[in-house]
Amino acid sequence: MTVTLPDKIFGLDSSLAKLLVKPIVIIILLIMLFNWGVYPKIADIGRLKQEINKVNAEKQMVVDKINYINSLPPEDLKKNESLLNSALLYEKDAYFLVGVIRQIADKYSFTVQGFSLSPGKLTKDEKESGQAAVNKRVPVILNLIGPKTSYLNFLDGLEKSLPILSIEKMNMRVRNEVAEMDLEISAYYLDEETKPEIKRLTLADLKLDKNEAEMLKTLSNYTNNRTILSLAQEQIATRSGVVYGRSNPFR
Amino acid sequence: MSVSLLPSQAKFQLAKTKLKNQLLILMVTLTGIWLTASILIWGWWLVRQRQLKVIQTAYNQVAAEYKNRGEDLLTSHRLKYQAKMVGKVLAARFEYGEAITNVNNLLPSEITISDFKIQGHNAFQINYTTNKGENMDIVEEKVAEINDKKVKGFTAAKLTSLSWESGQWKFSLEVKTE
Repeated sequence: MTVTLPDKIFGLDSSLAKLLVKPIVIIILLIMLFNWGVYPKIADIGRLKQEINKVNAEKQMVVDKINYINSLPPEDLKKNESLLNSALLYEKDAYFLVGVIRQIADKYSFTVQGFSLSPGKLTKDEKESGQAAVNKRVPVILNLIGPKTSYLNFLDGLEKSLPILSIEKMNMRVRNEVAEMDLEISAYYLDEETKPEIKRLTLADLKLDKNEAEMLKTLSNYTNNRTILSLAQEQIATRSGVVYGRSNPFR
Repeated sequence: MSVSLLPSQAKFQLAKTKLKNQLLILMVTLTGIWLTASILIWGWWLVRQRQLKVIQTAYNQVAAEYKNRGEDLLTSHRLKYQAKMVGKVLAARFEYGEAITNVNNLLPSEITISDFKIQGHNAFQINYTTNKGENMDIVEEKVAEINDKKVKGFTAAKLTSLSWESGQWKFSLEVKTE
């Protein structure tokens, strides 16, 4: 089949118009090829750049974390671990707390006259936070008597002991050379912490800040009642009828 | 004046040939530009792909090392967590030992504490005795210093009672610690 063209197309000689067809087709083809094969690559280059930056940043974060872990002397890590383990109770055990206080009192010639506990009572901290893992308080109320001259050393001894003891309320009477004290003392324990995904840990989750490092220094000067703590833990482990059903969170 | 002797058909053919050549040059140029741009973009894309692959390999190596240090990481995280909790406890704790020591050292040893009461967390009611009247000037100065926030560890002070009996000054001071 042959197509007969008119002499003129849009006022242009048909032989000249025929000359333009080929370049127009080629230009259209080039534009189509560009859109199909090249233009998407430009967008892809942007995406790749973002991905490279992201992987680089992630890599840097991981390297920083590894460098931090490598920079920690293992003996320091162990020492800090032991110190912090000693700073808190393993679990809610008011009897053990009384034992610790009694040991400190003995040291300063004070005697525990009596004590009271409320094992089932929720403390303020627990009620307020409602979080999964919070500090929980174990409070005991004690009545102690001892020499007036050593009450200050005794208070100092209580406040510079591990596990950390917090005097919530204090009432003191002095008769002659004898001091009688009513103390409400609390110690703290941690709920079992859910094991975090190590991938999600940030450097801030690992690194002790300046205040925390200072605090550890302070704690290292405290009297560590670790021995009595360990002994009591053994007693708990062998005690019948008291099962807390919790694994030791510090091991 | 020049006279074109070419017939009109020949003129038309010449113009057609010129246009054909111009179109050819235009097409070659356009194709060249297109090809160069395509090669550059594809090349750039390939370079980026390669870079990503290299970085990902490096990341995987680092991530494997990180995974191997899992135990240390967990220990370190646990320490941080415990330190945070212990820090909170210590920050919230009122230290009676330190507060009482501060109260005891507030006035010179010539002024002796006969008795004291703790009211709430940080308020002390202290009864003092002294033999020298001049010491009362020291007491008054100290009260003023405390109220001017010049004495570390104390926020307020008030002389609540004062008496003089058989050559001895007896007075009560109410102080608030930080």
